[in-house]
Amino acid sequence: MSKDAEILDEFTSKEYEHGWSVDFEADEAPKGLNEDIVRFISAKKNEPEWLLEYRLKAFRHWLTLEEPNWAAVNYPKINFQDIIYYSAPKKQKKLDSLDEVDPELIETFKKLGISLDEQKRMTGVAVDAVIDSVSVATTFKETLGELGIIFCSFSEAVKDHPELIKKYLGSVVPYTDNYYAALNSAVFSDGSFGYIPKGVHCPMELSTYFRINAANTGQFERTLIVAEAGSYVSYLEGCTAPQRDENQLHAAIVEIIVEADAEVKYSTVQNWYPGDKNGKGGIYNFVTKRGICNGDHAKLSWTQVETGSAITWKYPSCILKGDYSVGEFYSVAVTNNFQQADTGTKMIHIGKGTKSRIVSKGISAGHSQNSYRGLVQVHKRAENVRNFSQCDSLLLGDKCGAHTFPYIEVDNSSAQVEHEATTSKIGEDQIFYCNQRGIGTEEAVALIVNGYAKEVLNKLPMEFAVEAQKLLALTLEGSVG
Amino acid sequence: MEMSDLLQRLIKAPESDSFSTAREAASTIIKERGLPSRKNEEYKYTNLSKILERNFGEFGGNEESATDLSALIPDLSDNQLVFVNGILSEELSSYKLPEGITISTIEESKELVEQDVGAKSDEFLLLNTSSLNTGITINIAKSALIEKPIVLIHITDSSKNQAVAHPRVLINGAESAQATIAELFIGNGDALSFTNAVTEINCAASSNLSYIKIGNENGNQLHVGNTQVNVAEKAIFNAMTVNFGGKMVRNNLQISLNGSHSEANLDGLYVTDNKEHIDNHTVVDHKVPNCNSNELYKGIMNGSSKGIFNGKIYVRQDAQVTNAFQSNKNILLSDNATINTKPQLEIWADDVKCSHGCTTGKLDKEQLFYLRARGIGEHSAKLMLLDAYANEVIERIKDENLRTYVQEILHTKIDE
Repeated sequence: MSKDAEILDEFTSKEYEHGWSVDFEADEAPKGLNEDIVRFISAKKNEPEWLLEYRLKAFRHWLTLEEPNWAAVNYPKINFQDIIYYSAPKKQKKLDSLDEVDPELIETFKKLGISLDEQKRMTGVAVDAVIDSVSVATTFKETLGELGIIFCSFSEAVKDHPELIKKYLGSVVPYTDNYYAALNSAVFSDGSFGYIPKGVHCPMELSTYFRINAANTGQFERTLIVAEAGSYVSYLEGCTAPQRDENQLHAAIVEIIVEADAEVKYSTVQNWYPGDKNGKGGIYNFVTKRGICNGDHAKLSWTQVETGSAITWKYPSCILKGDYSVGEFYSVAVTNNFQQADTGTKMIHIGKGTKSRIVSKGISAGHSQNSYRGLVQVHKRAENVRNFSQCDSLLLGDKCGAHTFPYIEVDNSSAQVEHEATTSKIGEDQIFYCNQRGIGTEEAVALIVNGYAKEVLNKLPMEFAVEAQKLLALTLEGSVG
Repeated sequence: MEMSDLLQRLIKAPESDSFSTAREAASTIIKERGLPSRKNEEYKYTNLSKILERNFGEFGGNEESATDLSALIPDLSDNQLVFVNGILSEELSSYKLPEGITISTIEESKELVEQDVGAKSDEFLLLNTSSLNTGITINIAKSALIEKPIVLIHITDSSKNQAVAHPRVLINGAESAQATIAELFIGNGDALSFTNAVTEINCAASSNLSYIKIGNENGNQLHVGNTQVNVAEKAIFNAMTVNFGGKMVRNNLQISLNGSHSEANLDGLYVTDNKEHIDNHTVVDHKVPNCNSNELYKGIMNGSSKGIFNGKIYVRQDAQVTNAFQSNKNILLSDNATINTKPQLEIWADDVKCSHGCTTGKLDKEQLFYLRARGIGEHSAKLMLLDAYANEVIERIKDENLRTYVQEILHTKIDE
């Protein structure tokens, strides 16, 4: 054993010599990040040793990394020691009626067409027994359980299905992947775990929406979905309702494993607090999302509608390893005021005959900046690969920006790769056409934007699609005229 | 070898003269920054510094060639200026300059040279400036209409030793001037050589200049070319960049549309084989309203060669009513060939029409079948298709001599 290894060995074994116990009694970890905080989080969640090991390894790796700055976004430097990395899910204050809720929030709900009962549930107003969502959730859980589908919070999964977590955690996004992935792997709070057994077609859209107990997953969310051979699942993340969150930095990880002939459809609607009209406040949404099509004929499809967050920085990616596997990415990113979005996808073609399709629609208004950044990579042995990418940008206003950074790397001559992009504004003639027919300018813009984004919105599950359309109009409110 | 040693050797320090200020400033910056490595996003796919570091421990430098190079020189125009390793060769050149053209040394424009040196300048441009001791200025007079192209032939001769050349050319087109300038880069010799050319072009108002760069270098040649163009109002600038090889070639073409109602057309063709590596980086910067740009780059990659295309279009906030179009098409002929392409749009104005497209594939099977069904052999059919594909670009060369010359090189290259 070399001297270095010896020292390392001694050092690591020493820590466990006397065991380790938590002294903190508070529900909240003190500010800052060090090994003790990582241990604290792990202990609070009663995690097994191997998971603590994983977190610590990630943390030690994180220390060696530097904060990346290549994205086309600007923000003040984050002080990672000024963040509380663990706080127990707080019980929301129960309100007696909707009258007590922030009227602005209610106004937004109305515009989105969310039912009264749902409004109550989201704002923490006590819901009457008839539509008790807990019982609804329980019914769903039973149905899923019968089929062998596991759908629970990440912490529960660690307790109940450690073998699965152990096998798949970090298999697609290793903690060494990037700065924020390492950070998340060290301090992740909670998240969701979905497991679809072989050949099972999940009968309903899996959604955090129904999972009451995991509503407060915190800022370092972790999602892991495993679709065994021949299975199908559609997963919904997020919700159209505005999310007022105090945490500035969100660094989530989503990992998806798709086995042979399986299909996973992952839809996101993100509407975190974007900051006010002057660009103050707002969430930094730095997410690592990646899925692997492990087996032949697997299919993974990402659909996202990004309207919130002060800064969105994410690239849902597909590793197309299995032969004839398919990756898809459909995205609408809307930015207004001082929002910044740098988003796109990576399609890594490794298997033969793999196909991918990218449709990205960016809409910028106000002083916002919207970038598409994507990679299509065709490996040497990947015969007969097919890719088509389209990224369009729509500009509303003369102070905003739209940028496109597509990387295309082809190492095989049989690949057929196409990319096209356009940037333009809404034609005055189009607006005039609507005005002439009695449609106000603001409504006309909403109409045209929805038409423009239709190709992507159509890919959303129906219940989401309707709300997402309204959300687009809402985000762009006040950006015209 | 230490990077600073390498730079020291690449940057020759001639006697003090009118460029000493620019040279000193450039050397200071380049020594501090070093040559770009793969970590530099702009040079991500083209790692020249590694080859330079490994090979240019010993090199000949700018000494004149002993061999007779006249056989290498094609007859393209009445006005041919020949440079050997960056130095003008009187005996190889032949010219009877038409009225409206004057040629002088670059020393008269030393302010322009000094302006190029900045903290953000391209590393190879700085390297060129830091070893600058001679160069040529071509002035095209106001309203002059020059029909025949002016051809500059750069020969990098490494038949005796490894060679390094830093050619520097400045082209000034005065108001309403019209002319075509071509630069041809060829190589001689089996030793490794490195050509680091800088060409600056200023298009005054209402001028119409065409610039054609032809690279036909051999497998021992490294080439970096920085072409910087400023276009004033109502001027039209046409750039054509064709490359048929070289060990590692990098073209930086940067066009600033500084005056409104100006127009830039950029065309490019790169044909690579064996282990060649050709990298084209273009920037079109729309700074003012009402400008147009059109870009078409096409590539054919064979053997285990590598093609790289990066096209940037910037539309600044003031540049309303901009039309900017870009297209990049690639054909891979072999399984070991690679293409990395990055068409990039950055837009800060809203009243714009911009698009880019890029495709990568192999020769269309159906087209091949169509020809073969009519009794044309596979090889000839392939040649016909490639010829047609490349001609979309080559056809845009207006001068017949130059066009034929390029077509001939293309035919020999794809017939291999």
